[in-house]
Amino acid sequence: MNIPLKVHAVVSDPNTEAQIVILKDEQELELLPIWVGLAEGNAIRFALEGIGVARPLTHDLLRDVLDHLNVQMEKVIIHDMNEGTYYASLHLIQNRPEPKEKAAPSETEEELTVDARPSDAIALALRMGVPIYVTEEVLQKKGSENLDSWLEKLKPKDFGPYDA
Amino acid sequence: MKVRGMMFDPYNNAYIIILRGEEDTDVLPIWVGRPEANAISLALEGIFTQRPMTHDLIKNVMDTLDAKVISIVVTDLKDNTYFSKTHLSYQDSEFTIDSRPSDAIALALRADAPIFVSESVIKKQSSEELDRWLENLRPEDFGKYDT
Repeated sequence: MNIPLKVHAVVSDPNTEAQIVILKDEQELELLPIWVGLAEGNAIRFALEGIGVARPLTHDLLRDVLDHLNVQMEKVIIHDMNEGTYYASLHLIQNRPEPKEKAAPSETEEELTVDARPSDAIALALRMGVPIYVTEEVLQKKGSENLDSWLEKLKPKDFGPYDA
Repeated sequence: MKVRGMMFDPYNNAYIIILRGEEDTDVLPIWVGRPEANAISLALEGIFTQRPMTHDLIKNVMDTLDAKVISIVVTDLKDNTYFSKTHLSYQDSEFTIDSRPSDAIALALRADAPIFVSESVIKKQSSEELDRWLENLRPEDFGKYDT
């Protein structure tokens, strides 16, 4: 089963340059922290805050490509975790024109999936207003005690302004 | 034009991508941020990353949709900002998308698409100040891509 998540906050890991994207489920019972790079963290932050940029950033470009080609994105799913690396997929809906010999012009829809890093998937999902899901399996896998204790030690000031 | 070099600009804490024409007569330096410079250098060196980087993702999305990058064109220069267009073909139609040159170049290198610069941009950028700045650069200021 896929569980919908929302982006709760992007925080800086005080120990490294990395950023941590904190995802939570609707009941706020499940918490999924994903480590991402600085650029990806910023891309997610801009979308969260709705900061307009003068020039399109890389994820804006990807959104523009999909918009121009009239390709819809349905959702993104964080579907796997292996050795600390999370795997996500973009779920796209492509309209394909029917072969010309058919009488009435119509289109067929095909769902396509593209492998992505969760950071890119989340940055894009926020820009396109589509839901972010995680599989139950991934949530079970991530439950490492080390991580929970690390998070418990975090102080409020370690968190960015998005933390409610 | 081709990407002929990349170097670090310590004064602006940014990277400079050097585009050069076929006859080596026209040179266009474009200042880009660190993540974009990184995306371009990975493509230049042909480095394979275990997970797709953001520009790889754009390329993969386009491959999955059967869309192609025809070319990218650096079209304008305004207030020190370069503008470019990415030309795509998809389902027998052509599409033009506004983009930053850094993203367009990073994508073009991955898609083996040609990079063009409009003549007006070449004329505009050839300010004396810039030329002098470039002339003062020493070989060791250049990165390893410079030939």
